[in-house]
Amino acid sequence: MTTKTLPREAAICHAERMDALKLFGGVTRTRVVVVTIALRETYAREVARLARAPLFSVQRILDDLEREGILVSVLSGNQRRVMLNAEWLAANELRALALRLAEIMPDVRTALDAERRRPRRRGKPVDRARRDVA
Amino acid sequence: MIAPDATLRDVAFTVGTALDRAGIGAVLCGGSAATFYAPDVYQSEDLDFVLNFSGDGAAVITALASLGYVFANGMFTHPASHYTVEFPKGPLAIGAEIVNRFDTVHDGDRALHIVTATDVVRDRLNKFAAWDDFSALRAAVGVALAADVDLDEVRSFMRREGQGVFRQRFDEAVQTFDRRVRERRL
Repeated sequence: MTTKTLPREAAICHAERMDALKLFGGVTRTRVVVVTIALRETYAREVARLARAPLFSVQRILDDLEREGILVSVLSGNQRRVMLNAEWLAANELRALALRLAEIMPDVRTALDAERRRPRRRGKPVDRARRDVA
Repeated sequence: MIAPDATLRDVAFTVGTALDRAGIGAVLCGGSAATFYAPDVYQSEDLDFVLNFSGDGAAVITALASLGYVFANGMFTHPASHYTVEFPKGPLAIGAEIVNRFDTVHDGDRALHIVTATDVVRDRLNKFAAWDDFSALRAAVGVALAADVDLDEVRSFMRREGQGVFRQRFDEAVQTFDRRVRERRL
């Protein structure tokens, strides 16, 4: 059996195309949908940071998605936390698609993979060189 | 001794050996064990050792003091190294399951007790499923690709762990993990 690999230039070009997907209407909108739904529960500023999108655009897109019934939000202190509406008719399918896209969009995957979301033991030093303290 | 440029692996061997020679049974676990197996994929900056039988706190402090470690605020710090050492409360467990096994690895005359690579993957994947922590997923995939891991055991554990309302969450985590391992997608 022989294994074929893409030439390096073609692989880079392919990766760039995946990061520029416009599946949900535009590049930013697609990245916002993928990040928000992959994270399951998040907030606008976090989505903006991970999707590398302007906060204002992210807030607008999240509002749109909430109006369409795809996302729901709850206020926690001063923070509005958004999540996939579990009762929306295609919630499971959209979540599966978002997880798949998060794997094949290199920029999004790198941003998500660098994000620690599990709890940290109290008193444990926070991140010393912007790296994980596990 | 701990040099300023010592890697986590070096520090783990040095500390593990000092504990072992002092008769203290301690097993490296958590993110530091993931870094041990897959240093290029996952970087932890502290070493978590769980004492595998009734540990004597004073003996631990003495053993680590001989390496230059100072105990303060529940952890050991070293003036020459940014790697801290901690002893989280046992028993060693992953999710709801107690872990009774570990490997012993050697580097020359140094020895280190460490949770198995399969248990590291179980632990990290459990964290991904529970907290949507993609950094834990990356560590699980990295260790699965770098070390000898029993993937069937990992899947059975996730089935046991993801009961009731958590079923979908755990199944989804396993599917994502399997796909990334299959595609070797770090």
